[in-house]
Amino acid sequence: MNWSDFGERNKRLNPLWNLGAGMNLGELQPYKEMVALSILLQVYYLELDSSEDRSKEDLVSLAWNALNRFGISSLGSAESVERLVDGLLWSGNGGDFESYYYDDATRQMEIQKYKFFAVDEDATRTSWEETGKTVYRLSEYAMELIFMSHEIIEEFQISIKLLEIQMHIKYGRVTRALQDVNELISRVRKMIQQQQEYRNALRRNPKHIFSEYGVNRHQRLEEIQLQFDAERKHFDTIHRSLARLANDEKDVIDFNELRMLSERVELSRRVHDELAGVVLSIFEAETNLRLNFPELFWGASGFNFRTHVWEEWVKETGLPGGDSMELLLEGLFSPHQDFVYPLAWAWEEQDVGFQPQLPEDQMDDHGEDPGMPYSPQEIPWNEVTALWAPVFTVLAEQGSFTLAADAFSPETQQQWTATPDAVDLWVQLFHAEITVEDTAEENGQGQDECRRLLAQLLAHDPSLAVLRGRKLRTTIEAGSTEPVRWPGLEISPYTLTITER
Amino acid sequence: MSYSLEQLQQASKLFFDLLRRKVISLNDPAAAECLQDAGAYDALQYVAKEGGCRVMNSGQRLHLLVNPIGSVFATNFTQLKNKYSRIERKAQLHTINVIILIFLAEMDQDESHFKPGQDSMSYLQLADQVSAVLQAWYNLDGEGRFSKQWQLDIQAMYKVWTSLYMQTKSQEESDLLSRGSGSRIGLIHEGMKLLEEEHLVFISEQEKRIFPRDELYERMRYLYHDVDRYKELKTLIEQTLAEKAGAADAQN
Repeated sequence: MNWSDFGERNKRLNPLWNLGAGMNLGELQPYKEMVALSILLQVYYLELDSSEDRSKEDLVSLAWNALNRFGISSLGSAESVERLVDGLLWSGNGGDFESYYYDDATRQMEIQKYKFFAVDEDATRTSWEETGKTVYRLSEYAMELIFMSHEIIEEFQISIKLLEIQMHIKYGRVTRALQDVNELISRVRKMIQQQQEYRNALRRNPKHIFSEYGVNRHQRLEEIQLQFDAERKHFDTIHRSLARLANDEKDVIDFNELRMLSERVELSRRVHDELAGVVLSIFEAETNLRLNFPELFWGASGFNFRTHVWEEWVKETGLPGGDSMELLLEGLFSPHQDFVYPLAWAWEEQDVGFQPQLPEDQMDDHGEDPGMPYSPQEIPWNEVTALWAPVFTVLAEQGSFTLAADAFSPETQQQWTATPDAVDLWVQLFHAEITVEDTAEENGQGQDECRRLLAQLLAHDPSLAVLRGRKLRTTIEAGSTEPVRWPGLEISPYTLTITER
Repeated sequence: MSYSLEQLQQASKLFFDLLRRKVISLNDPAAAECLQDAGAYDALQYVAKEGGCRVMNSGQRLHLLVNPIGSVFATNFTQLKNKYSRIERKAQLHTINVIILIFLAEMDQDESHFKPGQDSMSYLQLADQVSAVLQAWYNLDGEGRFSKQWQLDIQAMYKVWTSLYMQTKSQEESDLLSRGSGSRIGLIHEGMKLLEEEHLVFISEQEKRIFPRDELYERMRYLYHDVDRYKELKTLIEQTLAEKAGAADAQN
């Protein structure tokens, strides 16, 4: 544990523990801390407003203010209230308040001296001459108390924080202002999160509009919008005072610190804008729901699964049989439509042949193997390549080849008819644009049939090498849609062309 | 009301689109077009009704849901038994139903108690709650009250649940959720997977938590927040009780 930390915390809390302590106020006794805090706060706001009504008489009337507000003014008397104010201004012996704290550096108990109010010297000087009154301001310790209690109040108090920052900047307390800006940023971020949570809750159940949170929010709608306006002004002022600080007091103030501060202020402004954005988007969503989907709010409020279905019904009285649980849940589900799996796909993998279609010489390697070796159906590449070779020869020479009735001799036509695999390749070529491989390295494995055909052709006929790297496209020439008729085969008049280099 | 051919076309197009996609955002052109035309939207409801379904407009999305009774469509829920060969006995299936019910009850709470950030559930939490509920029912059943009302073997459900082992925390962390078929977590996972496949929740394997999606809230809102629909559901379930009683009388 870090004990030096302890001393600091100790010192921060001492004034709080001593606030209003040691006074005997009769009937006001149970309320003294509360009244004391309210006086500190009121003075704090007076300071923010640069009001100088902070003399002892003013403090007394502030105390009465608080008593009226709390509805306990009947309990106070002129003496007890004055005693209370006295007790805030000075300790029992008329001097500073004293508390012990543990100082880790010296490892001893030390005495901490402090006051809740200090004399506001600037204001007092003129006031003494005019009215003879002393004007008090909050001491650093009292400020600390305000800030500490401030942390707890998380609602829309941002403007005050901004005023505070403004004040710090005005007095050139840059470090202090920086601290406050950071605190402000983290608080605004927290608020953004809260708002986003509310927005999500709203999406999930629009009736959250009527929840405690939603209702409070609505009542504050105008307040919130005013606040966004006020913030804009505050930021303007802060920016202006920062600029003035940078110009006027270059020597006094650490320029680097000032730069950091203005960066943080800028960040803070952006975070505020973000918050405003979220808040406004929630209003938009709420309005949209109310306007376009009023039915979401019909029906008894508070109807929900937990209370009505689960706790009052199922868990308590049970259901008629387990199957009724299914009835209860079934409605949550969408109809289930099975993916249609074509029968052809189901059989596809099994569509293999048992006829060995390997070339004869490879068969010899196997010797007298009596068993029928399993082999998948394979395109008879030798025949197919032989049939396609003339097509590509013409293509290489003339730049295009058209499948016409008289393109081949009757003998070749018959061979085409007998080799459906070769014919199929026309259809496959027709699908896409094909680029002939630049290199001959690919052996055709793992490629589609068109590429394998090209690879085979190029391997057989070196003169076709001119085709390498070219793009081929297969079209059906316009105007000649009449199919080509060969004995036993009818085929579209495809034209194979080289489209580009 | 009679619909024009165009409206019918639009409606059936959207219906089959919904059948395929289940949930369609209102911003989707297909949905937006149909929603603009009140007649077409009406026709869509009609087409859905004839298929034993309902079209639900949540304000953000269109959902296609089946009716608990009388739908021509199967759902992931009705196919549960087919999907998981592990679910062998009815008591197991019923336990899964209880798990889902408890999860839903945790997710959809009274809106006056606005609890932001408390909207996911860990497997262990769920397991504890299931244990508590089954234990409570089991105790009540000692007086014979529940068996009568439920006409269902609380004892069997209790037995199924207690015979499953509870993984220790370290096992929990090392194990994948889906593993451990003999564990409570495994059974919970089975039930939650059902919701996940329906795109109603997100299951985080790392955190072992179930996060509800907006779609779940939209559907629960539609099904259980509406008084009329709630009553409809209640009579439906009471009817099954009456039918069962009738069947039992006939037997005797």
